[in-house]
Amino acid sequence: MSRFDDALREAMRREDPGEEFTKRVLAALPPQRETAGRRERLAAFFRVPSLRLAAAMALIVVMIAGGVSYRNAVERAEGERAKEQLMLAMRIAGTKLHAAQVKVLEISR
Amino acid sequence: MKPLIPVLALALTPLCAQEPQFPPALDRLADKATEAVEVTLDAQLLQLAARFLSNREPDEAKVKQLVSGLKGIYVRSYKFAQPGQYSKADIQALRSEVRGPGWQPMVVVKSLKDGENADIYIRTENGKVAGMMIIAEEPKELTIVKIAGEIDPDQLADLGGHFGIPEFERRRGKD
Repeated sequence: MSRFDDALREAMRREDPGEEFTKRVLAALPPQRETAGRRERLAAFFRVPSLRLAAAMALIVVMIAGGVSYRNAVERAEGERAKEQLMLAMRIAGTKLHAAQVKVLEISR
Repeated sequence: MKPLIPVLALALTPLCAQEPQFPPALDRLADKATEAVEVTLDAQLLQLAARFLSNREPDEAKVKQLVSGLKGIYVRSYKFAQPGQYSKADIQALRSEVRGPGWQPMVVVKSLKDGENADIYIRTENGKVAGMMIIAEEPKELTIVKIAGEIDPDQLADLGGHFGIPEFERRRGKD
């Protein structure tokens, strides 16, 4: 091993950053007061009765619209499936009727 | 009020219970078949399907018109790998049904040469066609179609040339 290798290994050695590093990182984070302030403002918004009522109404409207939309989607899927089944049944019935007609014509010729 | 509940329940039972359209023997054929098609469309499902048929598309409009008088369409079609996988006994119950009152044979074709038989029966009520049954037997295939309600076989033949249904002979004469 060369001296250069030893020097490189020494330089790359893992070192404990120490307690000061943790303190510096925590100090760099945004103060929690701001988050608490936002939460407070949101709570104050919902303390106004008319706004609370409007928010509840909006939630109900969204839930009803969602329910109706879901029901329509389910009904559409069932309808499309029923239509496919109907077309399949028609195809089978038509094909068998045709086969019977062909047989009858064969016999009569 | 309480004694009325069982009476009402009994009265409503026929409306709620689904009438079995095919004998249980047919259901067992599905296990032997290499290909099985089972379609069960009661009046409610037919109405739902009809709502999804377009009036603007001429072909779909024809089907919609055909379906408007129907109460149900039931299909059982089984294809087998080898001949002899089903017996006459499997469809005996259906044959007994079409021998009952109201039913009459429209077409009965028996071919000893290739073993392909096709029977078409219609059920009439007050002089109107109120149902149809097709029993098509081939050595390796059995198909039964039951149509309940007002059906005109000519209307069904009109669908020939569309939806994968072969064109009927009389149509060729017309065109």
